[in-house]
Amino acid sequence: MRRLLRWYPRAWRERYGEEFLALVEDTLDGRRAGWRLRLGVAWSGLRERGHQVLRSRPAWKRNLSGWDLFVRAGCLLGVSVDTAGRRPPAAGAWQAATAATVLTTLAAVTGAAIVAAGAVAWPPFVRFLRAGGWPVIRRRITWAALGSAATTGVLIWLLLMPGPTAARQPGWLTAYTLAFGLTTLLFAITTRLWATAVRMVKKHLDLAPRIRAAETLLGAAVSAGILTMVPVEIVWFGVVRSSAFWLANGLALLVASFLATPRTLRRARRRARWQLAAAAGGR
Amino acid sequence: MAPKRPPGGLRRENDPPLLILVSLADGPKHGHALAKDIGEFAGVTLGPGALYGAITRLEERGLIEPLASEDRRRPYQITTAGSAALAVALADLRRIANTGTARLGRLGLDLA
Repeated sequence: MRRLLRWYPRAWRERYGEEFLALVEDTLDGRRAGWRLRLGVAWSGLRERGHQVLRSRPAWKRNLSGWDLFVRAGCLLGVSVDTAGRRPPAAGAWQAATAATVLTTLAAVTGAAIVAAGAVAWPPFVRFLRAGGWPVIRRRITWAALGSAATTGVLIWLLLMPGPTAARQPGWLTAYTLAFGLTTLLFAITTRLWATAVRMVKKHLDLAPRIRAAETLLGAAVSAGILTMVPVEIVWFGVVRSSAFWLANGLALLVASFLATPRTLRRARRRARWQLAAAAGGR
Repeated sequence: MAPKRPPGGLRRENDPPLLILVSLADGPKHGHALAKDIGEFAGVTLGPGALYGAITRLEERGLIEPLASEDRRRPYQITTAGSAALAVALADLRRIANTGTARLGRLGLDLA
């Protein structure tokens, strides 16, 4: 009977092995294990192994996927500044203008969601600071503020440089590439620093269930906003550069984003309902 | 015991985590007691592999928790988060059932 457990990973066997064997013994009630039971256990054990492999991804891979959204945000800013400095071809003028308008609208909506998330959490945040919470979050906030200052500095440098279509000095391309790369990188790092700081602050705030649920929904809206802005930006980039490759990629990603966004929002709504229901049940 | 499969071969709601939460809403149970209870109220036979796969996931998500046990049969109980998740899932099922019942009513079939 114990041999049935060999399909399961070692950690699982150590945690659940004995109780699982007790269940198998109770189920069989003295009979021999048939092939259906053996097959079912083997299948479940292999699924458990697969689950364990997925969970035990190396730390660098987990961190990389954690950076994904912030790298996209960084690329958004960098490419926007670059694309805004270029004149679109006459044939694609209205498409470029439409893409730019959609991008600006999405940025405004995403920004509004960020402001709203901050506004609903403001009163508990003030209470936390008055209760002497500043030393707990000081280090994270300071790093995020330093990142913001550095990003603003390189962004001003990039904006003050002659644009890609202007007359170029010797060494212009190196300086422009450096400013462009630094802006993208620093914005990605800074948004990540702010996200970490916000998560840390949130952990210490005494948020009412309704506020917690609202934060979940607004967080999903911000994430969906950024993920939709990326393909719109690629479309804009493709139109301005007259690149069919980037245009097709942007449109394909845009369709994928339209398909994924409702699921993200539905999941957030379900999570928010859980939070409200858990609070109601705990009272 | 409830019939295994309704007439017409339509699938019943037989999601193991949901069935386990419904069973534990009645009080803590160990594996075999869970399997028996689920068989009685849902007519679904969960094998040991499927049952413990679902128990593992539910415990990871904090929806159930193990209780101390003297012998090998460890009982589990539903947590507050588990009760909340079950309430939401049942509300969703109720909405589907109500919609279906109302629409069948318009066809002249009364399920009451």
